[in-house]
Amino acid sequence: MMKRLLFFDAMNFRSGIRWLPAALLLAASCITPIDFEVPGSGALLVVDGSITNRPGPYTVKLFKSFVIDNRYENPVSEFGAKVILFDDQGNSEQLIETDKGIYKTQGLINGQLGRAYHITIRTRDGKEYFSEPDKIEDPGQLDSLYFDYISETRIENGVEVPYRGFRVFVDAAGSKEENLIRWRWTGTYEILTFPELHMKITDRGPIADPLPCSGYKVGDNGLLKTGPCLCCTCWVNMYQDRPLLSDEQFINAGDFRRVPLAFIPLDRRLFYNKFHFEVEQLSLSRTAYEFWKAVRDQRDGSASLFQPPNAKARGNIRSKDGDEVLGLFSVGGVSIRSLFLNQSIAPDKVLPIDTIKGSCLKVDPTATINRPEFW
Amino acid sequence: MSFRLILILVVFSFLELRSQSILNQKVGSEWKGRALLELIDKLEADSKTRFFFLPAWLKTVQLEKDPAGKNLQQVLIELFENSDLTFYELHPGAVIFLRDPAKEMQHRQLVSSAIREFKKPEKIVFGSEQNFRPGQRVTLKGKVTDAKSGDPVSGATIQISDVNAGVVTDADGAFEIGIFTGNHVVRINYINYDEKVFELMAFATGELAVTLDETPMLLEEVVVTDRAAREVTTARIGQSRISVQEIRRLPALMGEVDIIRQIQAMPGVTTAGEAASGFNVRGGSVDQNLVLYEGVPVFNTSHAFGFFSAFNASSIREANFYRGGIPAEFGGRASSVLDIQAAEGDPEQWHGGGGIGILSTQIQVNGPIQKDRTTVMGTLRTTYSDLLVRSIKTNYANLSDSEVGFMDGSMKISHRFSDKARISASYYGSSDSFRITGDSSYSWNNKLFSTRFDKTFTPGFQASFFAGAGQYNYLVNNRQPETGFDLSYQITYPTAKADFSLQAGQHKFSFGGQGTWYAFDPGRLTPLKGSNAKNIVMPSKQSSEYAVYLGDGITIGEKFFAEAGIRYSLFYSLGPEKEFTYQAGQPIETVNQTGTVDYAKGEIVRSYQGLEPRVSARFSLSEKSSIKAGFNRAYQYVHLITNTTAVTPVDIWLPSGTYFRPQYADQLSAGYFRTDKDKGWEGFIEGFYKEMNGILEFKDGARLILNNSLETDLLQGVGRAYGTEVSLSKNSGRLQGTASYTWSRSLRTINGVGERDKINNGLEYPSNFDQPHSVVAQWRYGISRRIFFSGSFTFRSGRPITAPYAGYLIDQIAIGNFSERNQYRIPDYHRLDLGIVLEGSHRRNKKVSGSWSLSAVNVYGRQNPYTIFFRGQSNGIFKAYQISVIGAMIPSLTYQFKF
Repeated sequence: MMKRLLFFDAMNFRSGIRWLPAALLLAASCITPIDFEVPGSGALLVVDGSITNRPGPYTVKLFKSFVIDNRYENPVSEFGAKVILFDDQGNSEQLIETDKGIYKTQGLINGQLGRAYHITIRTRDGKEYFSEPDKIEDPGQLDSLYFDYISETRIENGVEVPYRGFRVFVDAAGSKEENLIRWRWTGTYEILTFPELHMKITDRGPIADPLPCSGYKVGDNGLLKTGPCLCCTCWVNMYQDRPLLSDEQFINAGDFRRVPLAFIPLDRRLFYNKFHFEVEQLSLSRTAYEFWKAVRDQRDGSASLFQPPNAKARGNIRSKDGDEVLGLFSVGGVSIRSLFLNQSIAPDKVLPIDTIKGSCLKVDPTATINRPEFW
Repeated sequence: MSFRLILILVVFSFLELRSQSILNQKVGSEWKGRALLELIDKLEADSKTRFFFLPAWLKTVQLEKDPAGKNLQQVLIELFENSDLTFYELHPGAVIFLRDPAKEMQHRQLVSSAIREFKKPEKIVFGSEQNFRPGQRVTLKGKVTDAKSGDPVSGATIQISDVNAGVVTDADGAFEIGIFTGNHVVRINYINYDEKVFELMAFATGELAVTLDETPMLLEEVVVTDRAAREVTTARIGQSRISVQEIRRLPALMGEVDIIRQIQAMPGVTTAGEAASGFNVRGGSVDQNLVLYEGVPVFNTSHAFGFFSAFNASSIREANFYRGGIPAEFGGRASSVLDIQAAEGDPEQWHGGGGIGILSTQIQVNGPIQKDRTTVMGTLRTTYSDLLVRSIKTNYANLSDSEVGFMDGSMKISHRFSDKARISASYYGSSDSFRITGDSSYSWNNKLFSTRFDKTFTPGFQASFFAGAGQYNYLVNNRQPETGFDLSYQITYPTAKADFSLQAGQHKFSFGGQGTWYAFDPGRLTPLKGSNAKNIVMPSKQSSEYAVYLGDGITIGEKFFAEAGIRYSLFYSLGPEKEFTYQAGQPIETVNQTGTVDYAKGEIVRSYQGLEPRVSARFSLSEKSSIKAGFNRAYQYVHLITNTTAVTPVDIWLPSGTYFRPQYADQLSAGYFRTDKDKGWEGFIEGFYKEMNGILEFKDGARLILNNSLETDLLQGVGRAYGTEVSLSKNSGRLQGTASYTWSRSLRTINGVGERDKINNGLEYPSNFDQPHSVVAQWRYGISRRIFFSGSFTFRSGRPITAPYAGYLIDQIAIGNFSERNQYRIPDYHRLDLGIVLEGSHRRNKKVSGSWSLSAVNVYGRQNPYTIFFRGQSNGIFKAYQISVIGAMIPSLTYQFKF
């Protein structure tokens, strides 16, 4: 995504080259999924937590890694652990487990620029872990967030497919000589489903079977409304699948212009109503930056012709016993901006949303019926 | 002959028996210097004994030594020693002289079979029949040249067919072989040249100038070539000669005849995949191969990122590839040498040629500027892949604006002052450009220039003086208005060399010296106007490398030949230079930097030296088999810095210095070689063990471009490789081909000071190109004089990769927890290619001859994984995908012509 900014990011080069075989060998090359047996290791503890200069609560999630076997399973939460947040002035606060494996601060400690923080973790089985202390650095400033609209067709597997949507960019300023920055965006969109139209299959064929949350039931003369629908309108989040990082070494003093953040396709579900786009500019410690860079390399490099070998992403969590532990407790400043994308701006028209005969909560794991504050 | 003999015997059987043997009779010293016939006449007159023979056999035989005190038997034994004449006494009173009938018949057969094959043996007489001494040793010397170009043909086989002796011409096309006086059939062969057969009557030492004509067609109807144990008689272990003509007969990807692809098909050589440039020799990395074009090293041997090699096949006269037993003359890279010689122009008349394929087109012109004196040869090849890419219908990324192209050109001018002195100048250039999508375009260029002066002082003492220079550079151009820039890299390396060879008795000494200067411009980032990119200029680096060597090829007796040499190399890294210093005993990391040291211009930053012993030996067990062994050490002072499995054009070369030690490799190899030339079979089995020191590996997440302290991102360690190579070839008949199998391993150990300075916890792990099993078969079958089928099949074990064994989500981004390096393998690779070649004409005198080649690569359309990658799903689970570079059958059609 950040291709233009990361001008001489080697990854950029390599991802471009992915097109080469297709071009030279007239599409004789191809990418196909395969079965690849990797014996799984035992599940390892994963830490996903952060503190910023914005008011809390700050969250630390503890769970176990997946074994690679292509089967979907929910992550196993690590519950009942003791998680304590420390600053560099001798203050500490124990986090409360609000949900299985989710630990939150209660507001005793508030992140401040220039202060260093770290956590300690003691799991149920008595194992102890800690994060390396990191300082909250000035994240710099998000100057402007803007977008344009493109309408193209592309060839994918020999078939022309439309490529229409919004490209979102940001202009930003770093704070100092070394700008270790990550841009994290979150999209939010509203979705409408029709749980009252749910059917069930019987021996006599499909019959109406409205979901209870739809507020309908089957009456003598068809469907009968009994109350409000509790699963018709949801808000769903959309996240980036690849970390966006500044490649600080070749840029002049944190002058980031027209950083391409995302492409949001003009899709009838995404644009049933409007699309909210929020971006955070996060300052990173060197360790966190290297961690996200390794993640980005994993994602970009793997499909490259030149085969940069995959590397481990090494986070800042350590175990007192030397056990392998994964993840990151991220300490950094944040600057936020957001905007709405509206389908009415687009010259292309969007089809009306398709009829999903089910609960909107099942559309996506992030779906919620709680209207966001900004909506 | 046999009929006559029987007659003699029949007549003889009626003769009566006598008691006293004439053979015991003393021969007086008065017979010294007189003819044997005279003696026989006298003996017949004085005794009742009869002698049976054909006068022609004995008429030139003289009693050279004083026969005083010897009886007739002793005198005759002495006279006939080593000749094909024998005698025996059937009974007292009858002595029969016999000419070895088997030998005579063999001789006749060879001559008549040559006549049958239209080889028209030319009769050649050395010396005068008057002076014929049976059994005397004489020398057959000569030189083999190409009839058209006058180029020496090295590697041609000289076979004395009736006595099963053979020799191979040296680099100057010269040969020398000891024979006995008498009649011989001499056959001279070289791949893709018409065989020459001489009926030689050697009565004295003589010289033979042989010109070979290139085979006008690609395959003959009846091929009875006799390559006379090329593998058995070549001294060096691990040396192969590559014939461009032979490669042309094999199916080629998109019709591009490619010398590097052919190297990759040799036993002991592997490659990371179709799109990977370069090759890996016996477990060594790509940068450990010294590729010389007319003596100048080539730093990037590929076009189009490795799909094709940078050398146009028609500019190549011959190529020698050393994967073991590297001669002392070559140095600077640790694993192998590919020595490419450019083709020269025809001294007699002008010729031209060209080829039209689906990807590129090429032309070549050569001829005399001054007849028999000065010749010129030029080639040019260019792609039109731009057209292809632009014609792909898509709106995506606006392909109509893309560039994918390469071109290369060569020119060689040679001038002959006399038979003893010649000079040549050669230029080669290649360039690539690439832009498909986005704002960045990439281009890279090779330029090589060389001059060479060869002088023969005496027949045994020759010298060659060489001066040349090479340059490799790349440029990345980003046109994005906000961040646009030019990034460039360049290395320039003038080099000079002198080689001498001296023949003294059984010894053939070679000695010489070489000096090379390297100027590295390791990176320069220039912002475009209005861009906010930084202006970065990496300080240039300079270094020099020197070497002297001495070698001796020695023949001991008939069976043993050895070549021993030593090379001493010296390397200086020179200022101006600014270097970081690091805390002693701590890992070399940015956090441990303590300061910098400045070196003035010309000041020695660091020097290294190395002694490189090179030995190879051959012991002939028989005419058909030999044992060979070799040991070599080679130092390497410049390194390719890469963090990818396949080499990219934007990888950089850097010299050794304070933090990068030179690499060196020790290799021991031994093999058994056997040939059966009657049936046209040839085979060998060879084993090797190699240890490499100072090999470079990168740390996880290493940044290599515009990095001022590369030492913090790179590690040095050791590697070892071992394996066995088996190869079997059939060189005659309608069906010819080679099949080889290699079992080998390539392993590395990186065990540095700190945690980040170890790979795989300091334990040994397989290298990126460790492919234990490799099978390559190449063949061609002649259907008629004009049409033949060819094919090749390749099987290789899957290359190691690093795979995730666990996954997790942070911030909804899937992250893989990867294994230690190279713990898994991608599936095995196999591919079948087939081709048909149609020759338009096989008349030698036809003005223009053309040929069509139709080839199909990956016939059964296997989707061989070039690599496997893992992509995290939104649920955090990783899924494996494979990339197949050649995922389908790729046909191509090429037309080649020559006039």
